[in-house]
Amino acid sequence: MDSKLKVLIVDDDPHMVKTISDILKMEGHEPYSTYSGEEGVEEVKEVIPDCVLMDIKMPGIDGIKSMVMMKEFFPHLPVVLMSAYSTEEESKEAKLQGACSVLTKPIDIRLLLAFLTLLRREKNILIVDNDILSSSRLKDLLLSRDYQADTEVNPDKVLNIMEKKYELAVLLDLNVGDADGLEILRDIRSRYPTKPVVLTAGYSEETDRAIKTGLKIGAYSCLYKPFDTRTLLRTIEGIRYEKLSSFLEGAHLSRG
Amino acid sequence: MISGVLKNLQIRHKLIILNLGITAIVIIMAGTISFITEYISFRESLLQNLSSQATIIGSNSTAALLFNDQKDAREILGALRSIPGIEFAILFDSSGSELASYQGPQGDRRELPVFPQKDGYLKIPGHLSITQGISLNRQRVGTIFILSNLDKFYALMTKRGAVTLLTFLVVLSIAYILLSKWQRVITEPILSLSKTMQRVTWERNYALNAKICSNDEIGELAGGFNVMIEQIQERDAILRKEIEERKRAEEEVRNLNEGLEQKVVEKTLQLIEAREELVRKEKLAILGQLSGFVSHELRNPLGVMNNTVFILRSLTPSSDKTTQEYLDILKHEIDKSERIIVDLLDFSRTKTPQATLVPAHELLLQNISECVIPENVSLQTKVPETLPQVKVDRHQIGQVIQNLITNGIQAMPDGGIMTVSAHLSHASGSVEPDSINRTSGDGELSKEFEGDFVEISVKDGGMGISAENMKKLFQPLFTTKTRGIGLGLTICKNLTEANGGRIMVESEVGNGAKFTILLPVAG
Repeated sequence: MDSKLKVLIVDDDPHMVKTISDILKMEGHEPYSTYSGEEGVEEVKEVIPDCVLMDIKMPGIDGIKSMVMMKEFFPHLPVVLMSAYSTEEESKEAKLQGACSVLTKPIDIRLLLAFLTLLRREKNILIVDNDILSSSRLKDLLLSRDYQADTEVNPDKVLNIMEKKYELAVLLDLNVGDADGLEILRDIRSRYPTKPVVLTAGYSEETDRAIKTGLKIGAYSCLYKPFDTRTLLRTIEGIRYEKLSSFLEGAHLSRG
Repeated sequence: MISGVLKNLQIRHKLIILNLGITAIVIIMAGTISFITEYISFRESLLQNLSSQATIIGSNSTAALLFNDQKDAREILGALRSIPGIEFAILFDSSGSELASYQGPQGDRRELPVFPQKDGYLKIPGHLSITQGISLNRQRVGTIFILSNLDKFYALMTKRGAVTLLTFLVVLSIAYILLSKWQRVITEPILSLSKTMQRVTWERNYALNAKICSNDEIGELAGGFNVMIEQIQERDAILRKEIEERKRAEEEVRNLNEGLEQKVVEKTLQLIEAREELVRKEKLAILGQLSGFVSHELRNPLGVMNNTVFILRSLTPSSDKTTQEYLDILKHEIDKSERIIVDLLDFSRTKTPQATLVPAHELLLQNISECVIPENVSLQTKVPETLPQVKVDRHQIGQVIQNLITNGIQAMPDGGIMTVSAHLSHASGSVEPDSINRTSGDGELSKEFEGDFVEISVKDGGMGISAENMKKLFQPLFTTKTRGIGLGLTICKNLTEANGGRIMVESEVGNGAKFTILLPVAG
C-alpha cells in the first residue's frame, strides 16, 4: 500500500511553496510546486494529485477559480485553500465551490499533516455481504477507483474488524446470511456513532420496510442492487469529502 | 326753562310734574273763565235787580211825586229795607230836589256822590249805584237814586273762589294719586329696560333680555334693545370665536415653533451623532482596510517563518538545546504576532455569530480550562451546574471569556485571587451604569435590554481602574499595558453585543475590577 501522497502546492509566494514542499517531503509525501493558478490547473492534469493545497489570493486567476477549473477534470479532488485574510463571503463561496476547507495562514503544519494522514487512510471501505460474487465485484470497482476495500462474509466478525482498522465507510447488505442486517447496523451505530453505514439491498417490498427502519436508526443512505457505478462512487466521495472537511473545520475552529 | 329744570329729574317725577302742571293750568284756566263768566253774569243780574228795584219804586212813587207827598214817598222807600245791601235810596222830584231818602243800616251819607247825577250806573269803590228817571205818561216826573253795597256780591265771589280753589286742590290731589299709580304704565317698562341695561353694563352679561311689557314705543325700544344685545351677543360670540381661533392659532404656532426648536435640537444632535458615527465608521473602515492589508502582508511572511521554524526544528538534533530554545522563542513570537493580527481582524469585522444552544456551565468551564493560569493566581469558580442554556456563538463567547480572564491575570502580576462566577438574572428595561465606578459597554443599547440572562462575572485582584480610564475602557486602541494594541476589550464588547449580550465593568481603584457579561438565555 503506497502511503505517499501526491500534493500539488499552488502559491505565488515562492518561499511559502518551498517551505511547505520541504515539510511535505520530510514527512514522506510527494509535493509538486506551482506558482500561479494557471500553472496549477495545468499541473493537475499532468500529476493527478491526491490533494491540492492552494492560496486564494494570487495574481491572474485566483485560488477559487483555479479550483473550479481543476474540479472540471477531477470532480472529487480534495482541494484545501489557504488565505492570509479571507472574508466570510469568500470562505462561503470557496466551500460552495467544493473546497474541503479554507485554512488561515500561517498554516498549522500539524493539522495539515494530520489531514494528509487522514486522507491517506480514509480510503478503506468494508463491504459486508454474504453474496461473494457481488461483494468481489464491488471491491474490484472500488480498487479501480483508488480506494481500498475489504470484504467480509461473516457478520459476527464485522465489529472485530472495525476495531483493527480505520474504515471510511461500511457497505452493509441488509440480507447478510443468518444475521439480520438491521441488528448489525444497530451494533455498529451504538459502538461507532460517527461511522457512515451505507445499506445495500435488492429491491423488494420486504426490504423496503427494513430500509426505512435502517435509515431511521441512522444509516447514511441506501443503494439498490444492481449498483449504478456513478451513484455508488458519488456516495462514497460524499462521505469522504464530508469527513475530511469536518476534520479540518473542527480543528481550524477550535484553534481560534 | 321748564325743560331745563325738569331735565335732571326722574322720568316718573317728570311725568307727574308735567301732568300735574298741565292739569293745574287747565283747571286754573277753566276756573278763571268760569269765575269771570259768573262774575259778569252775577254783576249783570245785580244791575238788573237794582234797575228793576228802581223801576218798581219809581212807579210806586209816581203819585207821591205828583203830590209831593214826602211821607208817602218815605214809606215807599222804606220798603227797600227788606232788600239787603241797599245803603241809600233818594227820590228826587222833577226839579231835582230831594223828596225823600232812605238810609240802610250801613248807610253813610259821606260816601254819596254829588247830585244831580245823570241817569245810569255809577261805580263807587265797594258800591254800585243807579240813577233812573221816573216817567208818567212819557213825562218825567222825578228821579230815583239807589246805592247798594257789593258785600253780598263779594261774599258770593269769595265763596265761589274758595270752591274753585278747593276743587283745584282736590282735582290735583286725585290727579297726583292717579298719576302716581298710572305713571307706572309708562315708567315701569322704561325702568325695567333701564335696569336691564344697567345689569348688562355692570355684569357684561349680554344674555339678558329686556321684558317687553307693552306694544308701544317703549315695547319697541325694549325689542330694539333686545335685538341690539342679541346682535352684540352674536358679534361677541363671533369675536370670542375669532379670538379663540386666533389664540389657538397662536398656540399652534407657538407649539410648532417649540416643536421646531426641539426638532432642530434633536436633528442637530442626530447630525452630530451621525457625523461622529460617520467619522468613527470611517476610522474603523480605514482601520479595517489597513488591518486587512497589514494582516495579509504579514501573514504570508509569518507563514513562511512558521514553516521554516518547523523545518529547522525537525532538522536540529534534540541534543542542540540552544538552537531548540531559540526556535521556541521564534515560534512564540510568531504566535504572538499572529494573535495581534487576529485581534486586528476581529476588531475590524465582527463575524456574524453562528448561534447554537450551549449550556452556560459547560461553556464557562471549557474556556476556563483553556486559559493558562499562573501559579501565583488562585482561581475561584462559582458556576452552578443548574445554569440554563444560552444561545450564542460558542467560539466568539469563548473568546470573550478567555480574553477577560487573560486580561484579569495580566492586571495582577503579583498574583492574588481571581473569581469567575455566574448566575441567572433578569434584566428589565435598562442596565445603566449605576455609579461613577460602573460603566456599561454602550449606554444607548442597554435601554432596550430585557429578558432572562446568564450573568457571568470575572473579578480580578488587581489595581483596579481609575474613573478616567473607565470611560475609555471599551474604546479601540486604548490600553494601559506597555504591550498590546488595546483592542481586546473592544473586541469583547463587539462580540458580546453581536451575540445579543451586554458587557459592563465595575471597579474601585485598589480593589480590582469586575467585568460582567450578560448572555441571553435560549428560548
